[in-house]
Amino acid sequence: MSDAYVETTVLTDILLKPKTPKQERAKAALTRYENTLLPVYSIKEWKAGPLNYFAYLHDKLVQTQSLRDTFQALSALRRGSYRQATSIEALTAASTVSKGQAKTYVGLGNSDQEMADSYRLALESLIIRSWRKRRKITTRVVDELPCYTEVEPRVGKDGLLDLTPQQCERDQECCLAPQLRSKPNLLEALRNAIPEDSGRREDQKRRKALKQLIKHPKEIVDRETCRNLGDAIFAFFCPRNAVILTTNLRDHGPLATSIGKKAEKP
Amino acid sequence: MSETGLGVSKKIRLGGLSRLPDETGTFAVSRTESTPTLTSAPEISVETRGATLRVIEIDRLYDAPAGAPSQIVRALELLKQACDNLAEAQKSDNPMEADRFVQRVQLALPKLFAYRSVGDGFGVIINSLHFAFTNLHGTPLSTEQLNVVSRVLRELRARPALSLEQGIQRVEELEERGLEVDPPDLGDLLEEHPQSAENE
Repeated sequence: MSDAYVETTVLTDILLKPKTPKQERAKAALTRYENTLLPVYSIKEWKAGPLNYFAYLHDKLVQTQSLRDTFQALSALRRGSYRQATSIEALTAASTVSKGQAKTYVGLGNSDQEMADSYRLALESLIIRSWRKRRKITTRVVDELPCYTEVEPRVGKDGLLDLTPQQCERDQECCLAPQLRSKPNLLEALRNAIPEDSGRREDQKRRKALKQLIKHPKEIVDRETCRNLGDAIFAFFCPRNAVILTTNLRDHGPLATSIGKKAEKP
Repeated sequence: MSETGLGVSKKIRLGGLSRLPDETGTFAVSRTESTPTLTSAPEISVETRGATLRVIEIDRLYDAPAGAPSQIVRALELLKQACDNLAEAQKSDNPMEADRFVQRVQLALPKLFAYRSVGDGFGVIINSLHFAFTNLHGTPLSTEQLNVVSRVLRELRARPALSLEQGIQRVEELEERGLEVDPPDLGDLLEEHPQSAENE
């Protein structure tokens, strides 16, 4: 039986999607493997991505003291992006529906302000509790990152959440650099797995970061390069006897296959 | 008499009082020995290393002047009712009767939430209990769950101004007993995160 190398999306489903089929699937998937390995890179990406997004929601609730305004603000952020009809817009609409229609929210309180406070507290609680659970969901935590400090989220005196640091230390080379440099053939294969003509910014950045490592191995690998490598890090560091466990097969599948590894969905 | 009733004087012998490691700076009182006797005034005396300290009961500490109940006094009253209902539920050997007492507690949560300015620990516990009941969809609490809810609310009544950190610790205890304390719709919100959407 192979081991599972748990990627950020699965960590997110387990920690931040309570009571959803995704969480159930992710939890069930972990039981299929004898060993489940959580790389610290997943924790880093999770904190800077989904957890940070929840912190943004929290802070917006603190600032607006309104659930409705918070959702409108989120809709405005997304307006003009690739997906117009978002469920946030649907939620916003639902929060303003007339009497008789189904109420979407189950928070405490009768007023918009009370509901905002209910969700603010729920987010505070979930963010801090999920942080404390992060290292307990797999059988092992692997690939520690000495250049990245894990600091628990905290609520400041202003009521806003502080999630710093979200990146590695600035004046330090990425601790993964020596291992990455030692296998240029893998870096080359990973780069070739990313379509050259991809219009996605994420792909372009990843190709560029891999190119830099291949062509200029003596250059310092900074935290931006490390972050841009993103999904390639999982394919590179996943042990041979493990599969990358991810909900994002579209990106991880080709990368893993290019170097003889495998990615699986929960 | 309920556990939360007044008019009980307790003599408690302690190895020493210690300040708790939190911003509330309250004293931790370990009730290692108690011999309740009925008196007219609620009062606890504590012996510590030869000295005797008087500990004021929570209701006495927040005694409200007539006609002007403060937020915390009202919150304490509601918490007392909730604790009494839970104590009755714990005592009952009829599951339906026990659940009826618990339902009264659930109904009191919105009123208690109105007093969340007492502290974020208070708010986070009441809020989490609300979501725990919501996620149960009417299923009665198990004995273990009933016991932990009762204990957490009694602790909250004894120290209503809990810090957020202390509140979250109590929420973790609720979670350990299988109560799902998060809003069921939070996961949907995360689906709106651009990265999540791209990854699907």
